[in-house]
Amino acid sequence: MTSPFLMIMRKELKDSLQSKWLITFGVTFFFLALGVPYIILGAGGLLPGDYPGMVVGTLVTLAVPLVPLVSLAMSSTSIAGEREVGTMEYLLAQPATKFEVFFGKYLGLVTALTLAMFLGYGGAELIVYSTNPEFVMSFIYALAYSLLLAGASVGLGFIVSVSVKTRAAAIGTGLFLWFVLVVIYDSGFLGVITVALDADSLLIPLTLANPVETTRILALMHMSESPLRGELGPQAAYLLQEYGSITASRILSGVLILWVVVPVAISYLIFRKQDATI
Amino acid sequence: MSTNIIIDAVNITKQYGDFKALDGLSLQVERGGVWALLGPNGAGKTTFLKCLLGLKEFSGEIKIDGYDIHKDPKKAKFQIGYVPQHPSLYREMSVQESLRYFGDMRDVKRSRLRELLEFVGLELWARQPVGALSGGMQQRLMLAVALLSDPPVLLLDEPTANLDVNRQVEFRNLISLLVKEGKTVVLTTHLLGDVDHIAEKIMLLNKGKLVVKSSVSDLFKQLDLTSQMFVEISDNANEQDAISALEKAGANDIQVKGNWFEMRIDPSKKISAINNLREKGCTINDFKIEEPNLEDAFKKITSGEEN
Repeated sequence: MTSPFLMIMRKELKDSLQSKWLITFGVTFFFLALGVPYIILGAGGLLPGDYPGMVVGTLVTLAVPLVPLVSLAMSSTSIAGEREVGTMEYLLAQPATKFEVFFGKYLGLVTALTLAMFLGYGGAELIVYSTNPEFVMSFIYALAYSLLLAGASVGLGFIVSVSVKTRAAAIGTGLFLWFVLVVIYDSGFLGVITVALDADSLLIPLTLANPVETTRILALMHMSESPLRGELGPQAAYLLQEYGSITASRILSGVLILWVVVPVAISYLIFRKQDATI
Repeated sequence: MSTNIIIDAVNITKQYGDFKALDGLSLQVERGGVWALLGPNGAGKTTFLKCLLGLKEFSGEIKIDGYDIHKDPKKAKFQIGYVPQHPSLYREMSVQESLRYFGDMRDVKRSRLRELLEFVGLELWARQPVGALSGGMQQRLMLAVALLSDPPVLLLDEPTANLDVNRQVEFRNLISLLVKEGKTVVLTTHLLGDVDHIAEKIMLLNKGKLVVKSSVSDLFKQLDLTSQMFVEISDNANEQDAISALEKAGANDIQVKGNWFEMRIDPSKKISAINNLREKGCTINDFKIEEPNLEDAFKKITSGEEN
């Protein structure tokens, strides 16, 4: 017997790869990260020597808003959408446990996002490797942290998905969450709070309370040679000053892993206790 | 597992806030035949059906063919084929893909898929997406999916509610064939016609509790439901003689409208009434009988519950 877990995961992967969100994300990410600047600068003979470093920095700058956007949009509708049309109830009426259904969908979606990111980052890595191999490790870190961010965002999206009744409410809530995590945090929110309260020590908890910020700082901290490293911002500067780069990196990595594990665990616990339709 | 009880539900309670949809419900379903789960809106029929499938969280214990839906949900659900009220298959999948997808979950051989496509008459639509099928075809496809692993129990939630008259007849015929194969079919319905046509046994729920579990004929006896009989006798018959003949046979509420005598009578005493009239020399020109139906039973039980 084919495991229901594998079947559900395979279907979620297939559906996600056909989703307009993921296709748009993959193509946009690929061209923005690499294609357009590389082609224009290359054609004009203006490709600078530190271009690979710029590419890695660009990837992180792009991944930080785009990865949670596509992850939240897709994951928030994953369970709510199926509930709305009745297919979730039907699936749960089959010989499959709630664990198999939930994690089949979760891992199918994460696998689809991973493939899309490999496509986006993959083209960039080839160019980076062919022009300046010393940037490859920075690139691998950027990819790894983006994947963790995708995992965290899918977990948050699943909390939304198990908590609302309709697809429309799910996508609305998912996008609002993205707006809070990316746009509001990025628009000087941290600076305003810390300056207003005159409390630098708030910077770290407020940074760690947002997986997007945690990922951004973590990825940029690993770009020792990137010209974009200067964009670390006050949070990273404070972290580095307080803990040094190794400890700071460990703290941020640990918190990012918690951001992957905790939301998915919470959403599963909610899902397990619920009726098939809410 | 081969005891005679195929569904064993003990003390099932399902609460939504302060409202008890199921209130300590206990019932056993014996193997074989069609069981209709009846009740007014909000009685708990669909909730109970979904508890049997583990789709609702509840307190109490449900065993399907010996397997506990809480402790051994996969094995318990393996014993059940489910047809929900509304088509719930993936619309973008083809008919064939749907059968294959759900068939693989139940380890079903490919030859079984072909058999079932023929059984429900969808072999010509095998490559069509589910979304392109009519409501009746989707209902038949869901029945095929429900039968994939040849489960002993079929749960049907309002199976004919969305079908036109011809499709209802087709669907009932399919169910009759399955019952002949030994399946136990439990269906919820608000169409008492369904019950009259295909169900031999009924379970009546009201306010989350089991009120009656019986065969249809036993139910009429228990409730003392009578037939309504109309007899037209010839002009020359004596009215008082006719009334006393009918009363002797046990008829009551006798009303005379011209040559027509209208009465209520125990279904087993109809022939005695006719014979008594003849003995009194009454010539019978015509007669009509309205047998008791489930609607009467339903009203009597639920009005008794209200009081």
